Amino acid sequence: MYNPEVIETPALKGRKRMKVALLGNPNSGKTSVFNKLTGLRQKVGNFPGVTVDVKSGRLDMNKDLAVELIDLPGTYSLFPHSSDERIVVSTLCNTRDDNYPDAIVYVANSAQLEKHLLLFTQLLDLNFPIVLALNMADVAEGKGMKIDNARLSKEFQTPVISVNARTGEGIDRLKIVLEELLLHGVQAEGLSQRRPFYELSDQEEQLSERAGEVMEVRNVYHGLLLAHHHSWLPFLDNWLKVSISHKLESTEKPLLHYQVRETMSRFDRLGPLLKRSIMRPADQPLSRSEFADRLLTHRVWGPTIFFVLMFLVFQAIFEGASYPMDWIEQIFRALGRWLQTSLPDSWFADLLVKGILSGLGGILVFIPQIAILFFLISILEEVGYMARAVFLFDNLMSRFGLNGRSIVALISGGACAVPAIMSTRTISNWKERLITIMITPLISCSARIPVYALLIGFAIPSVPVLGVFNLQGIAFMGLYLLGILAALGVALIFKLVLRSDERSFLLMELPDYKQPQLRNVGYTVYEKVKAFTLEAGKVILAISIVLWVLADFGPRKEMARAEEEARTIAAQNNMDESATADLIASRQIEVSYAGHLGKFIEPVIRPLGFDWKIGIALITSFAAREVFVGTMATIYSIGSESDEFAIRDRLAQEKDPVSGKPVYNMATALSLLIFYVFAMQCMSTLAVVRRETRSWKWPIIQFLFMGGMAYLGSLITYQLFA
Amino acid sequence: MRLTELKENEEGILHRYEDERLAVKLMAMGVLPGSRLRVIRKNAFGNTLYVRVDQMHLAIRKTEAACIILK
Repeated sequence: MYNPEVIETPALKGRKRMKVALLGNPNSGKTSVFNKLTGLRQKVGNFPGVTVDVKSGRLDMNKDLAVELIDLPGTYSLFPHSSDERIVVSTLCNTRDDNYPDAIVYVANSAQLEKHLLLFTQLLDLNFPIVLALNMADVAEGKGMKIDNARLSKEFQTPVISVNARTGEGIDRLKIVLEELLLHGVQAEGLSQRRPFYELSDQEEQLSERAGEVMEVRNVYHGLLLAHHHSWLPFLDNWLKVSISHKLESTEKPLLHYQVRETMSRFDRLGPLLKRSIMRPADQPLSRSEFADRLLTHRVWGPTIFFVLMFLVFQAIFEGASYPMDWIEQIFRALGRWLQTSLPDSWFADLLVKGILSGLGGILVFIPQIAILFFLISILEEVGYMARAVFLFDNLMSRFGLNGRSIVALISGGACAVPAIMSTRTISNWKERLITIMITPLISCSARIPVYALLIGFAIPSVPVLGVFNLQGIAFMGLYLLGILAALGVALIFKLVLRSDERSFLLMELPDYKQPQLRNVGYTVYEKVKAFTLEAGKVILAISIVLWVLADFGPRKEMARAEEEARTIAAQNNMDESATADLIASRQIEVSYAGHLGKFIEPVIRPLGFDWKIGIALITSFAAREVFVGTMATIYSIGSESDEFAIRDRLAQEKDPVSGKPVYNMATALSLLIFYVFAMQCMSTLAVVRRETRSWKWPIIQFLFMGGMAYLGSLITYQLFA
Repeated sequence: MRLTELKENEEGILHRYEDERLAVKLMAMGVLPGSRLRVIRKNAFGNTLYVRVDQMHLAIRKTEAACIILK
């Protein structure tokens, strides 16, 4: 079933809107070329069914041609192994795919042409109009190589352009050639119809024909690819898969055998062809990257340098973000106060201030951390250092079902899980990435610090240990260690439980070190901040409003009575205005829905040593852990502006109305500490996990298992110490 | 002789692969029969190798490297 029509140049179909796919190997500088071509006119979507982002952007052409450039994942061939690479095949093999391109821009690293053109020759054989963009021409020149573009162009019968994504050199020319190609096909460049680069063997022809008997194919090579990949291609109906595999039953050799042979024969032809077109100096200079790696991947110095770098990254998030975060908080607090005084007192003003404004503040407050983390990480990535970190830690991490890159997420999780989870995007193995996402929130983040400080101060005496240490400090460190151990333990369990058909490979190019391109770094930061604000932001805002309803509303009569009582008491004791307001808030939160919920869950949390008041704080601190401190302050009507120390003193005085014993003793505080180490008390993290896994399933599982660990941990702690 | 038997700074010529699935992937990256492989470094436990393949550098796990037979 040959269909010659689809090979026609797109212009003949009279279409104005066209799609161009950007393809190339990893480390070809494809992303730089993409950024240079599209600028900020890019948007991020995702491929249906998988958690891989698709970036696309509009290309401005001179003629009235609307071209959408689609950045497909970097891959080495059309014989894929990871889900990223599979996307490339399923996009290019499905003529009805949304991203099916009219033409292709293929980016190759000029200095590595011998290795980087396999995929290119496969694309040639799929008969796409294609421009070969030779990137990093300056690097190749620096190595003394001379590439004869005209000759290459003749050999491949397709346009070849040298570009430099760093300086922008050749980008305009690339656009012009692409436009010509889209409008007039390859003939415009004075090139004739090309012959297949790879001649199929008789058996392969048969394979292709058989696939062609059940569905329409673009050409004979397209048929062969369908035969190779029919078992997993998502766009094939089940009956098509069955009938293709039925037809292939009689093939003598396993399909893999043909893939090996095809790859070999393509390289056999590429080798001499490139020798004719590229002049290399006889003696290659020693790679400078290799020299640097003597230190950077050294058994002792390598990890040392890595941890120093990570410590700096951690410090930058921790310290650097604190100022802008304070400003954001102050601005929102001032805005809230202003709204409250200028708007008439109504539920609407309350919704605006306590629901929406605090939700928005809760979203924006993460932006400095996200921006700083991705600024630093993408510099390390751009330089080529991240690949070395993977080399250093892959072995250790793979024992826990993780990836070498997971260590970055785990360390930055110590500042905040939100950007840390977003950074797992670079882990291409889905199982390894998922496990990293699931365990990162167990690492104690900065939001736990106020809670730890409050409770440690309460439960643990400040006594010196061994002369130099303080027991409180040791307890602090113990909590962090507990989080790390829990994370690794859970990772092991997930490693055993999760099934994956993707084999865990590590075959990774260690690219030459190069100067980072600030433009690329800027785009990454912009994109991450945007994705968080828009996508996770929605969920955070919604939960924030729900929490506001819970804490601010209650059965109407009870709320009114609580206010009345509070006013009477205040009047009797001659309290001033702000003390009265604090008392009203305290009485009202008791009878609010959150209060009712707190009392409702009291029997469940009683064995942990918690009363309903802590129950309320557990519910409200779901917004963010540090809210715990504020809620306890409200419940005990200390006023929301007060600090941990005032609350600590107040808690110590609290007596059980029946027995007269203190409600909060060391056992309660320890139990609560353990609870906060494990519990998923952060809506923003859940929102980000939902975005990164594209489902509610994983955040819900995470919420449940972390909640379960918290409950059990607290139960054991309380029962031991009570 | 297997790639894993090389010590740091030793080299050999790739002869064949023992695992076809791995062969497809390695070849796609340009690690071909006839390529000159040099072990630049092994990481702390010797379980991950840093290999120079012609002009390219590659990280590969021991399990995979054991499937690469040298001349």
